[in-house]
Amino acid sequence: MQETHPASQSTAGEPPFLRIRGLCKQFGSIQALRNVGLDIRRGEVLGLLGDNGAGKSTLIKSISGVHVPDAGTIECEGRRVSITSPKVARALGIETVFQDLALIPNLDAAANLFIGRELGWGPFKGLGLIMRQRAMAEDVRRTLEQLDIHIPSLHAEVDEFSGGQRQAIAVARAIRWKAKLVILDEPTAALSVPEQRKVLALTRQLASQGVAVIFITHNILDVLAVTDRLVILHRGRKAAEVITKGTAEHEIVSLIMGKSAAAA
Amino acid sequence: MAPDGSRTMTADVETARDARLRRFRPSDLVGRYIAYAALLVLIIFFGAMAPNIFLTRSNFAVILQNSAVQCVVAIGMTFVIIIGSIDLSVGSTMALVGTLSALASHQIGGAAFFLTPVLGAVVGLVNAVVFVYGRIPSFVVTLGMLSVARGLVLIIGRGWPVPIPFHGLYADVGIPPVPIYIVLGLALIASFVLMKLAFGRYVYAIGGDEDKSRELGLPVDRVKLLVFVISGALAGLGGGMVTSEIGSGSPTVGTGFELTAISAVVIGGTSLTGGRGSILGTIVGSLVMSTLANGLIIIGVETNVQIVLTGVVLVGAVLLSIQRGKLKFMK
Repeated sequence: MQETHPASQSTAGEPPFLRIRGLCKQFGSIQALRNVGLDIRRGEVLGLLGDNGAGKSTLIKSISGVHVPDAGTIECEGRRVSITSPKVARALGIETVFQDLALIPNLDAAANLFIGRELGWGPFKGLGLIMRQRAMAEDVRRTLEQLDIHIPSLHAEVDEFSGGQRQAIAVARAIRWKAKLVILDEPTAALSVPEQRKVLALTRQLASQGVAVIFITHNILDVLAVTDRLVILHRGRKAAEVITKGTAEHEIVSLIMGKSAAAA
Repeated sequence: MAPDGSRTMTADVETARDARLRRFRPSDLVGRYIAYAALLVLIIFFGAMAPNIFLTRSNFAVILQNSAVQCVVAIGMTFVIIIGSIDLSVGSTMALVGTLSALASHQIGGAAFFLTPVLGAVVGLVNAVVFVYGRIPSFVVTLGMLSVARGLVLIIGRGWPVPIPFHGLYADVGIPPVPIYIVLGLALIASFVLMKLAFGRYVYAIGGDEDKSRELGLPVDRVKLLVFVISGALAGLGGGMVTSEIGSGSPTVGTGFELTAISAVVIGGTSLTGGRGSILGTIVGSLVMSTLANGLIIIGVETNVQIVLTGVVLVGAVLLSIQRGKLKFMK
C-alpha cells in the first residue's frame, strides 16, 4: 500500500482500484471521449451504459490497453500507470472479456484458458516451452468446478459450446488469472435467458470475491439485476453517475437517451 | 422498446444458432479418417488385382521408400496448411537446394547433405519475410518463389544435372532404409513440436482464428515466419534425399511436387481452411499417394494417368472434407 503517494493523499481510506481522471480520446475528427472521470472499486459491479457511439468501448479499450488515451490519468491502486498494451493491463490485474470473447474456436477449454500463458517446463520459454497439458487440464477442471460452470467435455473444442458456455469460459479465464478488475463487454447480448441468468450470477459472485467489475450492457434488466452503481456516457461525456438501488427504470432509460445531459 | 420482447427474440436466435453449432458435422469425420479408409481400400483393391506382386514384403518396402521424400516435404507443408497458408514453392526449392548442395559436395564432400535443410530454410525465410511483412497472400509469394527458384536452378546448372560423388555420405543417404529412418525421426519430432510445444499450440490457434490470436497477444508473426522456414528446410532436405537417390542435383526434380505434397497433407485430414491436422495423417496421406502410384504401375496403367489421378484425388479429398462454413469467400 502506498499511503504516502501524493496522488492518493486526499483519499480517505483505501483508494479505488482504478481512478480515471480527465480521459480524452480522439479518432480523426471524432471526439470519442471527453474528459471522462471515473472510480472503480473492488467488490462493486459498475454498470457502464450509453447509446451506440457514446464512448463505452473506447473507454474500456483505454483501460485494457487496446487504445492509448490522448490525455488524462489512470491510477491503479493509488499509483499512476500508463496502460500502453493489453499485456500491461493484464499485469495490473485487468482482464477484459470482449464481446467476441477472444476464444480460439478450434482449441479446447484448457487451451483457451491458458493460451499465451501456458504452463510448462524445459529449457526454453516462449515458443519452445514444453506444455504441461495434464496440469493445465486439471487446473481448468478445478477452476470450472469452483465457478459451477458446466461444459460438454474438457477436451471438446469451444466451437461446440453454447453461447453461454463460451461466455463462461471467457469469464473463467479472467478469474483464473486472478483478475482484480474484470471488464465484461455486453456479456449477455447473445445468450438465452437461462444462460443470461447464469452470467449475471457469475458476475455477482465475482464482486462478492472482492473483484471490481465493469459491466457494459444495453439491457435495462441486467442493469437492475446486477449493478451497484451506474455510469452513463453520452457522446463521449459522462452524463450521469447514480447508485442503482433507488434509481427507477425510466430514469435510467432517459439518462441513456441523453435527457439529463441536456438538463445538466 | 420492450426489454422483455427483445430478450425473447435473442433467446430464439440463440437456440437456432446453438443447434447449428452442435450439429454433427460429417465433413469432420470424413476429413479425419478418409486417409485410413483410402489406404485400406487401395491395399484391398490392388491386393485383389495383383496379389503375387503387390502383396509382398519387398513391394511394401518399395512403397515406403518411394513415399519417404514426399513424407518429408509434406510434414513441412502440414505446418503451413494448419496455419491456413500454402507453400507452392517446395518443388522448386527441392531442385534449387539439390543443385546447390551438389555443387557444394565438390568442395566439402558428403557434408553437403547437411547443408540441404539450411539452404532450404533460407528459401523458406525469404518466403516468410515477404509473406509476413509484405502482407500478401502466401500463395502469391510462394507461386513467385516457385518460378524464381526453378529459374535459378536452370541458370546455375545451365540446364544440366550436377553430379554428386558416387560414394560417400551424401550418396549413402538415399540407400534404403535410411530415408525411412529419416521420415520416422522427423515425424516424431514434428508431432512433438505440434502437440507438446507452445509453438505448436499457436500454430493451431493461428489457423483457427488469426485475428483473435493477435488480440490475445500471441507472437503470430514469429510463428508464421518459423512455419515457412520449417517448410523450406524440409523441402531442402527432401531435395537432398532425391539428389542422393539419383546421384545428381537435377533441374527437373520436384516439378509438380507441391501438388503431391499438398494432396498428401489434405488426404491426411489437415483442413485447407486451417486449424486442424496432424503429422500422422500426413504420413498416411503420403502412403495413400505412393500406394496408388505403385499399384497403378503394377496393374499396368500408364504412368501419365497418375498425374491425372493426383489432381482428381486432391480435388476429391477437398470436396469431401472441406468445412465450407469456414470459407469467408470463394474466389
